[in-house]
Amino acid sequence: MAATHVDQELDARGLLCPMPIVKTAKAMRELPVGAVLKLLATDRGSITDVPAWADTTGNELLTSQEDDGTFVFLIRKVAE
Amino acid sequence: MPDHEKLVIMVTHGPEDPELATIPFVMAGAAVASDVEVVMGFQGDGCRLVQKGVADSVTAPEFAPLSGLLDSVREFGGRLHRGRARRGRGDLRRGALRRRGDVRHQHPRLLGGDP
Repeated sequence: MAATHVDQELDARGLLCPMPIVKTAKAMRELPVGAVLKLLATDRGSITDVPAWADTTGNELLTSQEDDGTFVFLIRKVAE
Repeated sequence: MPDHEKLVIMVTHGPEDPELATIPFVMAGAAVASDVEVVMGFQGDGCRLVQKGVADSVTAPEFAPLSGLLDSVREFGGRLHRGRARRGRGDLRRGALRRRGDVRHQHPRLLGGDP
């Protein structure tokens, strides 16, 4: 399967709750509809916060995985 | 979800209790980032948190520093309404608001809907 194209990467490692989703929301404002954001976070709260944020705002969480203590999320912007 | 959701959060703890002072801002930060309209009301010791420079020194374990949360709430358009700071603690103990009715009198728009 082809890797998903990432339009922007946001490094939120070291930031505590709720800043990963606050930074994500800010970054998404600047992206066009259809763009994909890659979010890196170390706050364990992001495991539940990011899917909840995507669901609430109507954006699409494509993948989420943990890589050596870093949580990696791919999120597609669905609407303004 | 509805097109427009609102959340009103009352803040009654100040810098002497960093955790209880920070939690309302954590809720507010997550809410504004999720397209929810947020109104924060400050009473008692909570009023001190929005005085210049005070938030800079408030940090609770496991949460982002208060100053960054406050900036984020403002940046996303959250509205902050400060009541009257009173001397000492205990103004907002259970029953105090109902007896005095001071929140309703100071901020009728918060509790009574739009003017």
